[in-house]
Amino acid sequence: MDQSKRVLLISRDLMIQRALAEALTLRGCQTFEATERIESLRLMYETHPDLIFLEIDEPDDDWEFFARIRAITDTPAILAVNRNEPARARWSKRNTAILIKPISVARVIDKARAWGIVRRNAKSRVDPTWSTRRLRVVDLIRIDRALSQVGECGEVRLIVEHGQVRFLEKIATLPISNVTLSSAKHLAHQVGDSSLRSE
Amino acid sequence: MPAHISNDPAVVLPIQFQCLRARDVPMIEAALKQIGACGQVHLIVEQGRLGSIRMLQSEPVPRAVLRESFSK
Repeated sequence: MDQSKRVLLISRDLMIQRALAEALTLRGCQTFEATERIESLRLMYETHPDLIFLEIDEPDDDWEFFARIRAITDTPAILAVNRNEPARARWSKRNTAILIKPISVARVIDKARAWGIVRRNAKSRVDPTWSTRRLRVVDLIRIDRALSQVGECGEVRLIVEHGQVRFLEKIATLPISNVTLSSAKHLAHQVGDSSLRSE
Repeated sequence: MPAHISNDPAVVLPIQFQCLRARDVPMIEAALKQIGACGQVHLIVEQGRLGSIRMLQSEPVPRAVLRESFSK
């Protein structure tokens, strides 16, 4: 029988879901991700999680949703809330940890460890294979860095071989308006374009 | 190779990307899925943001065809 602890991650932010799912999976947990409330409730009934993570994004709706969760289950929960959130004091109880946003993955892991959900340490280095099935947060950070390096115009090419991203190419493009006439003529001379040379 | 983000105390959530938006991620993943085992996904940057996605699908050439073409 699978002894791994189950964690339900509820957040509208894809990056929060992914970062926590990756960190918890590396530490032997099984994670389930939900964005919508109906989906969250369905997963809660189906998976009986050992820990619930809920990001309070829209205070009125999300606190009401958490009250519904608490009416169903007493499962330990970690809530990520905005600073100066008045409703948070109401839920500061034994099995509810409240973290002020922005949160770090390490703080969530620490809380989960305190409840015995996380037992072992993660591998210190990330798996070097870059699968195309699901992009990890580290892969997305790499892509974002490459996109910002190409500037205003350009391309980032993900080259896939055998179902894995093997290379990442960055191509910066210079808008034609930035090319001066003299540099265009020089270029035309080099490539043998007579239409520009004759001007 | 960078260490996993969960081991980096400097990383806080939500992660602030410079160019990438959350809605871009499923589109990039769909493109990677669509090209299959071999190919390229080109992320076209326009005005500092991901503007469009181009997909190139590659088909492996059977070895027999390669041998034939080299022998000519």
